[in-house]
Amino acid sequence: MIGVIIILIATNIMVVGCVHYAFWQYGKYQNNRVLGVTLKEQYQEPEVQKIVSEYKRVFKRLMIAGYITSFLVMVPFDWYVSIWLIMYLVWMFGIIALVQWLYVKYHKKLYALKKQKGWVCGKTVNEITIDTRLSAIKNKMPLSVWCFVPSILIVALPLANSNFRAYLIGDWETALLLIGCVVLVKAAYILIYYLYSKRKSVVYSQNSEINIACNRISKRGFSLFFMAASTVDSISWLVLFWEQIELEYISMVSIGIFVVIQMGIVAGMIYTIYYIKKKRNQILRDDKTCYMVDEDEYWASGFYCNPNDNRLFVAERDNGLNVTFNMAKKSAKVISWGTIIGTLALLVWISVECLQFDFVEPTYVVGENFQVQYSPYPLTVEYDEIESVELVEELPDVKMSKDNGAATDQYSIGKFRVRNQGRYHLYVYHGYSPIVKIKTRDAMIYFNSKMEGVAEECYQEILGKMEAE
Amino acid sequence: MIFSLNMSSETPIYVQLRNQIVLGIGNGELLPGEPLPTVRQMAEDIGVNNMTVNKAYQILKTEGYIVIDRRHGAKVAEKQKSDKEFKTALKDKMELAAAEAKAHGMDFQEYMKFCEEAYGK
Repeated sequence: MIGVIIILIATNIMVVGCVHYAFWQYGKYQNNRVLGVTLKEQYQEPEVQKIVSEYKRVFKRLMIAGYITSFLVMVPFDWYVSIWLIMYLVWMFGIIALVQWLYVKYHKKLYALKKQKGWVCGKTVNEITIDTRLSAIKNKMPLSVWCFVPSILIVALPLANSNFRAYLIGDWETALLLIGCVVLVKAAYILIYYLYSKRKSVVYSQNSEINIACNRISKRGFSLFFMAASTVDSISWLVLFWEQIELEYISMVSIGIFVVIQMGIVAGMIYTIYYIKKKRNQILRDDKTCYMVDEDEYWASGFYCNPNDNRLFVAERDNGLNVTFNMAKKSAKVISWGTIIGTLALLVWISVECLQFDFVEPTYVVGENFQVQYSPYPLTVEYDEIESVELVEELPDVKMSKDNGAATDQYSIGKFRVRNQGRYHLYVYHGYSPIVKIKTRDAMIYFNSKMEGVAEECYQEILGKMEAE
Repeated sequence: MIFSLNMSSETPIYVQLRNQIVLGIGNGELLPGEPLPTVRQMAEDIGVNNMTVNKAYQILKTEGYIVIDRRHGAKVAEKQKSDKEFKTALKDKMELAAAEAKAHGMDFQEYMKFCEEAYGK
């Protein structure tokens, strides 16, 4: 329990830390921009300074609240899991939404001031600058997509193990879940790499050599990071695979190692962004022919919206690795709203399922067959499949690994597995006895109820039905 | 060569692109044999459809400013000779430009100064 809480607190701090880093950058005056608004010497104006310092002040307070609540949100962890989960989701999405709202609010305030004053900074928004020498070699800048082959081979290594292949065949549901996760993660890495490689080249200067050097550092650096991150990520999955094959469950230590490695990848990403910015600034420092482009009009709402741009994805202006949608395109709106609505629907569904675990008990029906009526994990057993039924006082003292379900201090519900014994279906509330144990040809079923007499009654009825068969 | 395209101009993007490349060749910013971005690379960087860039490249190829090789992509063609056909077409354009200058009240000296500046760029 303590281990899980520590891992979750570490994850919370990491989430708040990432939000802190990303949005703190907006308050800094860099690349001639602050709060997403392009300014030159106007940055020194007292009105601008006032808006920026106000943003920084409110943002700091919000982040302090974020770090404190990273711990506080774990307090109800030991109460009802469903209530905690709902609070946790509200907390996490609340922090991200609040920070985004704060940024958009101050961005609009500063942009309104710029419009009101009529400040123009650099080339107009409608001009696109192209460097033919840069564009001609842009595809040679990132590392080749073949660099992802080692990471795919590493994660496919377990397939060479006969135990793993037997495990895949024997427990295809869990195997499918694990393999599905790995395939999704690897596909995500390659997709991000692809989108980043196809990003528009940036013309910083009237000097092609400088443009090539800046773009090469950024494209080569990020593609190297994606390749290294994908390889390290594959190694972290190997740890989980190995334990799942050898021990048939995944321990908290392995999950801890996995989380630490993933945190390392996030740290690597932050370092890569920092390093590339530093190198780029070094190159541009002495260049007197730097271009300054004022495309604030396209970012006026805080999101990119340019009807003249045919691209669906564009690079974020201030955050090195991010890409964002061009909201002027219909498909971008459909994907954005679809993702938001889909995510909300998924979260509501997960919350409802978890509320059922905490507040709705399964119904046991002894009729033509034995049924457990419980929407997350319904079960039907024919009487001729049952080998034995008995009443026991507690669950057997064996190490159970959860395939799918919920296991807390208060209950164990769902599909579990015990090494060399096969599948267990549990509907057990801890601290309540007796428990009915049913042994079938290919699984064990344990169930009880918080209500007195229910388990005994079911036991007698099942026994009667078995004798009648 | 570095150039800009105006996305809100009434002149189509493919015409602007064609003109910019011709200007680059004329000014010596694009040298004979110098590789140009592929249609896809150029379209990605401008943020337009591949067809737009393809149209500009096809015009430039027809006019002899660039050559397109299936393996090596587009590159600037060797310097062309000003043949009779070209001179006739150029004369027509010059006449039109001179007429427009006169219609706007420009005198000969001023018009020639413009021509000198444009050629010497």
